Amino acid sequence: MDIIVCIKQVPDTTEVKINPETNTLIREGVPSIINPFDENAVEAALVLKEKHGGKVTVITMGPPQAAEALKATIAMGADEMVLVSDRAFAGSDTWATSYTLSQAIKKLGNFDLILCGKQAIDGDTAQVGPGIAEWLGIPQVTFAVKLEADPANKKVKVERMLEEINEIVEAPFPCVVTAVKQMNIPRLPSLKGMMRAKKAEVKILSAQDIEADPKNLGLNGSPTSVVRIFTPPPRGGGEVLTGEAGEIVGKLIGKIKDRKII
Amino acid sequence: MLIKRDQETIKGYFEDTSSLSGGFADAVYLPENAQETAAVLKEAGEKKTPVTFSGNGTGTTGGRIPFGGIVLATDKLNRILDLKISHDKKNATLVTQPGVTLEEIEATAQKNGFFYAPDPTEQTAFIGATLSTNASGSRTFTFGPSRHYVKRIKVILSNGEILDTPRGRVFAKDREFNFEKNGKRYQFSLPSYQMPHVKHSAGYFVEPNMDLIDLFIGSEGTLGFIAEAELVLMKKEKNIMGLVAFFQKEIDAFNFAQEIKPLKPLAIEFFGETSLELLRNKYPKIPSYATGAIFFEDLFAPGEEEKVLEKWSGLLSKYNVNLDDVWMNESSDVTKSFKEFRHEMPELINEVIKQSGFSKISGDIAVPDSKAREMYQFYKEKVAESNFYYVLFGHISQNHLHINLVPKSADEWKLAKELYMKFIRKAVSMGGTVSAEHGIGKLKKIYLLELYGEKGVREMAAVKKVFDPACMLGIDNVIKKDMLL
Repeated sequence: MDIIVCIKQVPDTTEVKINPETNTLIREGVPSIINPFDENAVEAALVLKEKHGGKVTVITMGPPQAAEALKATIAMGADEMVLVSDRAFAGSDTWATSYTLSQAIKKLGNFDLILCGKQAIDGDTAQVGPGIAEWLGIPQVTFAVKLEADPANKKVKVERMLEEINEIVEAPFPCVVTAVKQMNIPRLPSLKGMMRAKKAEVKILSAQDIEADPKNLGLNGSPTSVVRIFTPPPRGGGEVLTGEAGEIVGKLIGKIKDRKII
Repeated sequence: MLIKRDQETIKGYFEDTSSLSGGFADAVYLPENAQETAAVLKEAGEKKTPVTFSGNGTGTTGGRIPFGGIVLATDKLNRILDLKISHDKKNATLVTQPGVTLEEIEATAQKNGFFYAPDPTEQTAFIGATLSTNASGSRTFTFGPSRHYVKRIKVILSNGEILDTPRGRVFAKDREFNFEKNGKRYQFSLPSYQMPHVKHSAGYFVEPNMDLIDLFIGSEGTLGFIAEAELVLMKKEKNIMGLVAFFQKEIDAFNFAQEIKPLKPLAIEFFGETSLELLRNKYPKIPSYATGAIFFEDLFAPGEEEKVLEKWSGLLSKYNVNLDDVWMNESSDVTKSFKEFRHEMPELINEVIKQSGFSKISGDIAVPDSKAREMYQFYKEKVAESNFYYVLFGHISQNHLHINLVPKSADEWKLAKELYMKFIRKAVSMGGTVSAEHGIGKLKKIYLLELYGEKGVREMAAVKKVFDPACMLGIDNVIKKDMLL
């Protein structure tokens, strides 16, 4: 089975800081990691490769330093890596990003399956995976929590984790599947993988290489733009009651009565 | 200052992670600064009320569990007071109250490009308690125990007096201390024992010409209360890699650790067969063939990485380790790595023990390098003979494996106790220690007697009485109560 996994490099932080002037993430001093859902997608791809053979190619669109994230997937066991990088891609929204990735994927030749994380933890849109499927005109199965492949019959069987139920669907090769974090526990890089990653070469594709239509690229090609990002004002601190447990209970009941709740 | 008397509210202070039960106290005092603490101690001293100091309850030897009197808890002494960074940004010290967790100390250091080197395993421990026990961790192999990183402490004595104790100011002459503090003269002899030449945290630190500060560090709250400490931080300069290697034979893991010791990696930790069985519950990806594992960490300068990887893969291949199964990570953040993996171990064992319903006997023995193999074989032989459940893991870098005996019946518990005493005697006969890092507390006093004999413990009692004449502090910790009379 030939599998393509799309990943994104994201800031490793739960406290995202926004530059109020430009409405963009402040990345200085924040280390980068592979988007956690994408690690689930890589793990799923490696499990399929172990079972059915084949090749796992990992692809990302980003600045040159995103190569580090690609190398980390080689250390996990992926075979090849592709960095789609060009100044022309800067400022892409999800529409332009999925277009760019789908153009790059077309250049990579035949494949059976594309795996993506459900969404990235910085933008949280969950649109790029489905977008790629649309651009390529192939089926998409989102929120996968279980994935089995049947290469002989050229199809996958996917259990989708929905809000109240799980749904099992089948889709023919080639298709796009997006992974939720409950799908698996991503493996750690291995020593051997790490050594391979040091020597592995990153294939770099530019806007010209992927024969992209310039009007679909980057900021100009993006139909949406972020008007404003802001951190909601923190809630008031509340009041902390102190003292012995009995005392606190008394005070608390007083407060509840004052507000005529009881 | 908050004072809690309601027994229901304070009963949490009557336990730690050991199985010692039956603790009781009249009240728990929660001072917020050194002055309030001094006032509590002064008042207790005048009323002859025993005082037990309490950290965050992470201890394993019952040190914080009171048997009467009051508890002086450090929970509200929880502020980092100052971070001093030199002009060239190469050196830093951090001034802290005792009730700050290691986690918070580390976070503050990291944020400023430094780290706190001793790195005891339990991150929720309070810093004051880690100094009081001279705590250590896996990186003690390279960096040494906590005391090496303490520049100054403020100690409050049982009469409320505050002794400001910087390092490098007051030294013993051979084994005699003679100095003046706050207008008072202190003149006393140190115990005559020799400490074992291994990682060691049992009884008072004693060495000819020693610094006064080292007497208080590791004294487990029996001499005075550490109300403030200035810690030395280290600059983050190198990157770190952590590796977990799995071996088909446990003995290969042991041998590999011995081989890499002279190469001085940052830390080397051992996991025996039963440890891996426990860990598999949380880490299903541990290879099924593995019966032993070594976790080790190495520092490297940027650019050296490939060379270092090749060195380790070469060595591991000699022991038939499958390099595809060697877990690894790299980071510029020395606190990351596989800390959680390592820390799961004691917690998983505690879960097993809760299920068995009997208290575990958890070893903390360390022996000299030349005796590492003999001690390991002795453990394996003896547990095989007695045939009960045990878990062996820990700081193999310093010949400090924690043997945990987990009895499943009252009879087995008795046998385990006897067996553990055999381990203690064996270790002592080889020049080892009865406690390398956990301290003595209330539960390991009999082992301290094995190490130093009654004479040594009585000599410690004499030192205690210099600083705590009425014997009010940490009663029944380290020194048996009746030996204070």
